[in-house]
Amino acid sequence: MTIRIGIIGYEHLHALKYAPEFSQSEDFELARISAPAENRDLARRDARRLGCEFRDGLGGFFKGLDAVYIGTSPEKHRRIIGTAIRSGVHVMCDKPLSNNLRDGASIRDMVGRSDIGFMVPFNTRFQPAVAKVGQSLGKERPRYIYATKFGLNPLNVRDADTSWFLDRRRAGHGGFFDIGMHMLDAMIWLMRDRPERVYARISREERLGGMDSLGIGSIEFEKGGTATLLSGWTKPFGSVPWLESRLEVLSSRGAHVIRKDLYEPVADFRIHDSKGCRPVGIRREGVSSNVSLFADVVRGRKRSVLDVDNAFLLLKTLVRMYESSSKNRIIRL
Amino acid sequence: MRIAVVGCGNICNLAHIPAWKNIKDREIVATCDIAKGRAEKARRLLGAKTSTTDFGDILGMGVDAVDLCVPTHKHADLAVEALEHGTDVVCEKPMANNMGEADRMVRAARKSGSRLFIAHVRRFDRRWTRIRESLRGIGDLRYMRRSERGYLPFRKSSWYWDAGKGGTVLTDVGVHCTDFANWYLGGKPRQVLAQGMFISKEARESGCFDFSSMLLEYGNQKSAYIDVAWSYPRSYSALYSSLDVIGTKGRIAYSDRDSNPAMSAGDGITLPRYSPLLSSDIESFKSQLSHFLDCMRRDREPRVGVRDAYNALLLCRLGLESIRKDKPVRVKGTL
Repeated sequence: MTIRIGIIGYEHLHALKYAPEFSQSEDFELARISAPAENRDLARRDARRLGCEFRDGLGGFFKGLDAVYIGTSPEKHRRIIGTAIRSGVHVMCDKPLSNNLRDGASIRDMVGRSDIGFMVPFNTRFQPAVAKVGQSLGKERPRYIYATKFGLNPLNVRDADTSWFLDRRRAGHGGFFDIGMHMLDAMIWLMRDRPERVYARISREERLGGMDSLGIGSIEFEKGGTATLLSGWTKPFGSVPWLESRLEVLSSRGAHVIRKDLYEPVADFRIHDSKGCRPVGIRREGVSSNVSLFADVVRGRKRSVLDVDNAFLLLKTLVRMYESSSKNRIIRL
Repeated sequence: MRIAVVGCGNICNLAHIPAWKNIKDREIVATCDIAKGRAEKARRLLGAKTSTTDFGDILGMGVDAVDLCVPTHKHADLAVEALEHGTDVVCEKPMANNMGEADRMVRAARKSGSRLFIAHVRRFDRRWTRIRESLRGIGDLRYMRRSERGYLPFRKSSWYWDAGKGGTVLTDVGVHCTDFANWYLGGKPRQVLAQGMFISKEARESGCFDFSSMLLEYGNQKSAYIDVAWSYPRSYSALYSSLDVIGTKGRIAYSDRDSNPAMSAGDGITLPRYSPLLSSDIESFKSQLSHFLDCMRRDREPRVGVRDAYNALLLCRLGLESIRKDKPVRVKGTL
């Protein structure tokens, strides 16, 4: 059975990746695209190119659909997810779950009471290099993780309107929140533990209207490991690829370093353990893993590991980091 | 210049002896170590006239300066004795193991008028000096990470594993990074928050952190994050250092083990050869010692002064306080 899916919103530019992926997937039929706000031209262009219907608004959008991908700015998520639930339509909602904890908790509760499949996709943990670290660790938890993830400043994105990223009412928070969430998911997954306390310093920039660009946050986990994340919008660099990252994982078995530089499609992956140092080049993958996983969720084959509880945990961890930064103290989750 | 080398263990053999052998216009008069065999081996390597196990003998030889490569907890006693004797002192980092000892050294230097140099060799490493010269190209600085991590190959009985002697990894290695942060970002931080962990068996059994991280806030939206460790695999052998500096207009990133160490660029930037247990090459140590000798001869201020070393150590000690108190600690007491 092919899953009929619609895409709502091209505000979050991940829709540009997911639309073709859904269109090409044997599991999905891309039925229609709607772009209620920014980047309507891009959405219309994709609909034409991918051979599906385009709609300006959401009136009757859910009719005949099995699932939707939500790529709007996060302040709209709660309303759209509520409509999807009432329509019995499964949801893949792009991150963040919401731009504030209250709405995030409301979404979590709504989804928890419903019968729909729900997923907030994160790519990083499925990257082959990161997955390799996870395999290499086996059942052991790391003691320390340091990670960086940098993305383009929205002001430097060409050919798309990303101005909403700098609107606190819509985005909620800035660069550390926007980019850091990707890596935070991978860090928590690798640690196999729950965050217990956080401390962060996140700087707000006048030139970004008081939104933050860059931040650093440390997490202590319940079973004793610690992780530090540096993330945000760096400028000015080139236009592609979007993201640059580094991941260092220390355990008693050894140390792993993954480095994905700006201009390389291949992640430099080094394993340091009792056998020595072995560098390996591993190609970066797109969003296909998330699409396949969502198909399994919709078909009821499995509950997604990227479920609403995972998404809410990430939201809460980051929001508490902002709280730590503003209050200058360690905060318990 | 007449020099005596005191403490003929690891750092002396790995770095100071090779550096001294490449410096002209100096005479290594004597070597000194509590172990006669080590002192004699160093004497032969340096072509010194004599070796001894008694530091008092050294001061009686009328040397111009002593190069102290002894364990951290011995720095203050020997440095103060030499300074009070009118002998200049080059002392390995960290300056001391606690601020009381550091204060004694500062007072002795001031009162005697003898010169005290603390060997923060990173400031003589061409990689870091060249990168620092490039910082103006990345706008106003916002953030810096400095990481130095490796494997400590010493048994549990070594003084390194005694927090009361070496100050844990946060002092022993961390002091490189706190000095680095002050050097790059300028000024002094207002607050620090640190974490410490026991990862290896030796660390757990000795109660001495072998992993530590610290966040330093400098004001003007500048922060530095340092992480230091002895607990990485043996295959790290040389210290693996990483540097990230982010400004409002760009970023500089360099990790020494991620790069081909055999490369030289036409404008003179050379990625150096590595030696075991060191993160700076012999050329850096040679440059450092030569610089200190030059400052002694010409009575000039060194590139890295006692104030820099004192403040770098203070940040490490405040980091340990932060770990004990489990909260951020305001920085007070800088020179």
